[in-house]
Amino acid sequence: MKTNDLLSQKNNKFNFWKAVSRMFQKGGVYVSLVILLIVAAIISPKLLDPKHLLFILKIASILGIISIGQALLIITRGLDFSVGASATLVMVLICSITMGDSEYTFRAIIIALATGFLVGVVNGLLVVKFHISPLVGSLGVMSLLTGITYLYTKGFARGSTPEFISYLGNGLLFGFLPVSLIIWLVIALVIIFILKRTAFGRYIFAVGANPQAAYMAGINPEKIVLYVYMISGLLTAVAAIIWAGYLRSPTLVGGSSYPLDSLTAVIIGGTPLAGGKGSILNTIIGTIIIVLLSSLLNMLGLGEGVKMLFQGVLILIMVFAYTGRKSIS
Amino acid sequence: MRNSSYSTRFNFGKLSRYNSVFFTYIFLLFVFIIFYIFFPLYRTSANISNLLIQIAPLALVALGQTVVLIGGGIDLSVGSIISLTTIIVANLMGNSFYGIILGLLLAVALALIIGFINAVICNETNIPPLIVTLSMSYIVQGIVLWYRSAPGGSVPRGLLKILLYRFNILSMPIIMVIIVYAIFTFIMSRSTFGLHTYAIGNNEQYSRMAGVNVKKIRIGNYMISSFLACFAGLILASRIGSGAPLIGDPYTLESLTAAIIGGMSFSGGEGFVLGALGGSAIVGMISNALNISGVDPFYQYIFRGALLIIAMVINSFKRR
Repeated sequence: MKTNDLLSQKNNKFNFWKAVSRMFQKGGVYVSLVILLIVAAIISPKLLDPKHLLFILKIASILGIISIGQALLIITRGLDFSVGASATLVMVLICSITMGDSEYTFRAIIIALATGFLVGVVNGLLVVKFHISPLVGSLGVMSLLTGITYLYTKGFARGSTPEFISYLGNGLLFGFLPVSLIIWLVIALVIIFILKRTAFGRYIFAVGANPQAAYMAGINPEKIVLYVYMISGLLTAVAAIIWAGYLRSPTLVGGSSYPLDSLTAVIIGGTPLAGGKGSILNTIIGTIIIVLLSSLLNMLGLGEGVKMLFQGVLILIMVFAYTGRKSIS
Repeated sequence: MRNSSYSTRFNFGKLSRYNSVFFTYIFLLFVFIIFYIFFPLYRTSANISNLLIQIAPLALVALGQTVVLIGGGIDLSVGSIISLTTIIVANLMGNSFYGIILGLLLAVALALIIGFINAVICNETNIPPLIVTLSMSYIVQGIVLWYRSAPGGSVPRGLLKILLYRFNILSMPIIMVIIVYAIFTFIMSRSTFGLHTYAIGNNEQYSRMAGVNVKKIRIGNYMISSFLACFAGLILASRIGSGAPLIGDPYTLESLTAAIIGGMSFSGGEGFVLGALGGSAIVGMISNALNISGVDPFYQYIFRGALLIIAMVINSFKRR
């Protein structure tokens, strides 16, 4: 009787931060998007021109595909900070293999996907087999990949993308719909289908929520996490192909913002870092917010520094809103 | 009647606890002997004295990182604090005495404030320390890049003279490192603060029940870490004679590597600060050997990543 009373008392107490956090988890990302759009409309109405919005979506598709992989990882309690370095390596490989020659397109795409897959396997094995903290392990892999990229290019990237890959990054369907946007949406739909409708999807959530319990229920958590790392590696490679097509020539430094950008997109989308929960749709909205925000800051003439500052604050506020205050003091 | 196994006193005398540090120094000796035999350039006293100065900043940052790791946290904002300090030292100080003093005070105060904010956020919210310090590193780095996006400025001569004063092989940075390590070895093994840091790293809940002021200890930990990062930034700035907005970036990773080679784990509550000195000496020596042997500087990236991963893999095997 007494414990029951205590329990009910605890439940009845209104916890302000819990309420806010629940509200945020449901629709915070949409509210943020609307606020950002209103701010954008006030500051520079040009930003909301449909043509420009489609352009923003075209750029966002690169980050968006990476973020979907990141979201899957975070659902299984993982994290990958090497996405930027691996995307850069894949892009450099594509450009230097094809040298703009359409003949080698197929070979380049295969090698790109294989590289992304391999990076995913390495990251996954480090986490699964050696029990290394995902963040620190992937930081090590990031340093490794950056070194390999520099050694491969000797510090000066050359080459360009063939016709087909440029079309993936820059082409328009029906004269207005970016091809990369369609690829992004198709990937998102496939992943959402896998998560919602297949056993594998349910295993992913189960492993993220409680690996021990999942193991008891007959799932092999290590296998699931490894598969998720493989998928994420492949998605990064796809994003890198689109990125190469969009830029048409390689860059060695552009990828450094992808790790934090993708992490922010996932966090804004309400996926908790503790794992077991998460939504691909919200991650997509989160990606659009990040790209819109950086486009807005660019338009105001504020540089990379201010963007980093904003992102740091944004992550802190968002994670705080989702997780709330410590109850014990 | 008292059962000795229930004793709450920390038993620092046990040799097995020192195992990890012992192996670190054996490995350090091994690396040193190999380089001594195979690289003639390595043996020159000029190089050894340079090497010691090169290791000094990393040794300080790694010490701070170790203190935070013992307390069960992690500090990823040290790199950005180093960059911030070099920028302040090179750009905000005049050549006057008061300018230098004010600049130093500003740098130290900012570092302490950053550490304080890190700890308060970790104390009051459910955000994991990893995310707190990562976001903080982006905030600080953003401010630094906003203020100066390219390397520049120059360190005042008076400060250079003091910070780079050297006689024979010994130099000011090395003396500072020795003093700081002596102080922190004492603090962590003999004082209440050290004992409580180990306690909250082992089990925060239990230590709170036992009357440890967890919040205060954590604030102390993070402030030590950011203060030492600021110190490292000072030495680094005097070594290159200028400030750079991204120079501290690799130190985040290298301090973690040095701490892990020094026998730390991410679970907290174990390890010794002296391990960080050995760890950073190993990292610094290999990096220095790569430099003077004239291989492509891009190998440094591969070396950093590989060393971190290998150290963690070895750590995970030790744990089984």
